[in-house]
Amino acid sequence: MAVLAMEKVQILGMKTDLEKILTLLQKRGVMQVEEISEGAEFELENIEKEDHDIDFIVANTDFAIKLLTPYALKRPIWAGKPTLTSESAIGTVKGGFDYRAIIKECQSAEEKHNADQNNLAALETEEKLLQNWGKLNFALDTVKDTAHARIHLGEVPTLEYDALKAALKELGELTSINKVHEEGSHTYAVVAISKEYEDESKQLLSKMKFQEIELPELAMTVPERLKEITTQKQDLEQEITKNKEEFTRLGKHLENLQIVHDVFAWQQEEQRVREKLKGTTYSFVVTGWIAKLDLKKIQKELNEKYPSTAIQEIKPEEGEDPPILLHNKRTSWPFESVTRLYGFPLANEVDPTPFLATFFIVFFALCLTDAGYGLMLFVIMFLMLRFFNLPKESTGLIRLLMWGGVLTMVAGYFFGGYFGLTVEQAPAFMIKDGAFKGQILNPAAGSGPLIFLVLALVLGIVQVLIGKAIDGWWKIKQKQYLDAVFDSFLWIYFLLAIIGFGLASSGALIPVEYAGLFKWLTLGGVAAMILTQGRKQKSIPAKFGIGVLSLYGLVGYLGDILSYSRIMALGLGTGIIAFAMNIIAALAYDLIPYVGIVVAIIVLILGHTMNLVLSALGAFIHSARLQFVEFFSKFMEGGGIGFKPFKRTCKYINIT
Amino acid sequence: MSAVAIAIAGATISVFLGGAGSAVGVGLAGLSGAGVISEKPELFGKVLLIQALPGTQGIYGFLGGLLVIFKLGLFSGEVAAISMETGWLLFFACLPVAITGLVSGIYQGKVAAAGLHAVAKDQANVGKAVIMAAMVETYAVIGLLITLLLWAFIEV
Repeated sequence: MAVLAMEKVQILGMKTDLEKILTLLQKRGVMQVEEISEGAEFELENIEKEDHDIDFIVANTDFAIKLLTPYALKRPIWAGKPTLTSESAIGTVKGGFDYRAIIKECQSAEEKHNADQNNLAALETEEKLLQNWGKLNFALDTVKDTAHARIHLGEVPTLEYDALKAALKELGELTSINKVHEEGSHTYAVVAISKEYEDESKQLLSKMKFQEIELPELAMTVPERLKEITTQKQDLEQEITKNKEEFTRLGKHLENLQIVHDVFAWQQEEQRVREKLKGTTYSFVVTGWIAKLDLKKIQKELNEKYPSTAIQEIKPEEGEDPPILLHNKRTSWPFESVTRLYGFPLANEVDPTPFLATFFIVFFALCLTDAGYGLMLFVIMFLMLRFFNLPKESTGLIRLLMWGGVLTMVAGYFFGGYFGLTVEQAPAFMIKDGAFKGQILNPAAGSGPLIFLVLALVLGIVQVLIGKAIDGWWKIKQKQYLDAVFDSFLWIYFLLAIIGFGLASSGALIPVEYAGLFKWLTLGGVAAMILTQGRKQKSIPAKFGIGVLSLYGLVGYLGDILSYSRIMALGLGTGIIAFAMNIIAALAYDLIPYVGIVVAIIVLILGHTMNLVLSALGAFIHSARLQFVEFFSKFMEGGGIGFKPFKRTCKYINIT
Repeated sequence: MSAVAIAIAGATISVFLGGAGSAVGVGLAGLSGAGVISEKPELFGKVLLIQALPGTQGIYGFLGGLLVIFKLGLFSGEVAAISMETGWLLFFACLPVAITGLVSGIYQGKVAAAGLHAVAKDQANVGKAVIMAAMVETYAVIGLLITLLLWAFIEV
């Protein structure tokens, strides 16, 4: 229902109990441990147990898990993460599972696999290089410069080859060039040149784009080496297959490794907490935040199990804000996922979750306004909740979308939206008197769009006024009576008076004869605004100046309310695109011979799925935005820091 | 130029400008997104979500085009006989969604791309990055709103 009140506490105890107390605290997960500040009355020393083994195991199981995951049996998507109790998880670690041996096997298998793959890559590179020199019928280590001649192996662009040959001949008699292989635009050649013209020949070769290639010095000919490479490659490939089999074999241990990782990660977390503790030779002290709600229970449990332990409330340090933990009833809990998107309120602010819940879901439904889509959304989310193994924290969004689907069905029922069908296209049993049964508004025809727009704006007015009312109520709770009256309730009165004046003068809803009354009420509001809004200023002119300026705030409210018109645009958009998908499918059915029906069904399935996904995304985002920008700004600032309890955090498994 | 041609010009401009805005926007976000997943491939789902955001303008533009096609009765095969004035009315009714779609699509892409950098640093920023990009989309929605209202009140 609210932002939970937090107490800063100090737990004092005997060091002999430390291990067990930390385990208990972590198991309950109710305390956020804080660093103890310097300047305590008596000298305290750090309590740390150096244990690098834990870090080692966490890092290496993580490595093994990442290595084995691609080879292990895939868990079906609905099975989620391995789920077990923390006791049986700890049992796995203490029991027969020899994780150290498995880690070692993984490490050596990975090392071998890497070496094999590197060797294979090296062989492939060499093979590619040698393939062009297959016609050299001498051992490669015999290619050496002689006393009088220099030998170059290299490639030259095929187009330049003849020119190079001619140029070499021109250079002198003691040159030769032999083509070894030609492939596309590259020609591979052996050039022998007398050392007499060494300098000129170098220039010439580089001018002709001759690029020297270095070949490995082998005691065999190129074809021999290539044959050797082929066998070596085959061997290596066999090895790599074996390595993968080894990974698959090790992959059977994946689940156990995941359990081991998480259990040791808890211990790692405990180590981190230990770093924040202080103590004397025999005692220790730990400080942190606990929700008031949980304090009694943990106090009792600690005192019962470890009688020499004291837990007491202490004053937070100056400038230290309590962390924020939200607590909501089952019905509004899923909407915390919306609040979290924005961030937490401050400790002295109200939790907006229960207030935004109704608005959010109604806006979401109106942005979709299609009973068919609502049903699809509900069924998909219901099945996910029912058959997927999901950790509880991540079901919030799914629950929210499920209820969003239900409300969308209701909205679709009243607005006559069924997969974008028109009255003429719909089956007869859904129709009564030229409209869908239960339909009260056709948003796409006649004055429908206008009524829908007005509905959206009315919802906007209601939400803005409620936002202001929450602001006033909260200020009264904080005993800021004057601010509540002048900054919240006066504005509500003023806005209502203006709306009343508008309605009365146009004769809509309120009879025209009341126009005069509302005019005076509005003018009274203006006067009150001018007189009160500048009350915090010092000089008299500034008081009035700010008072007059505050009337400009009306523009802001007008903008806020008009912003709700997006609900109508999105709601109408969903229906029209759905209608278009039906038309395209019908066209396909009519125009394509024989397989038209197949194409039509594919168009319908793909088209409606795409429309549902995109429209639901848009509906969610824009409903959320209306909360964050238009609603929250009326009563909260936000920027609180979330509560991060010391608990058993899991990465690969779920704890029940 | 016939009245129908003028109305169809409105439809095509709407689809074309909205689509162009989205193409640029999704492209910009995609460039950043590819950079993010090269470092953190596990963020693909979140990156895809943000990359898809500037895509709505294309849909709105498409919707604007469809509205004109419905109004003219092109699907039913009997093209409505409309006056020059109605042709121009339909043409102008398309402009809000078309132009807001073009400009907001491009800028939403830029905001989405910047948001992806925030997500690369900390994936808890996804929600905030999405909402910031959605702030730009507001103006495309407003463009769509006016196009829808004008369309609803143009008699054929």
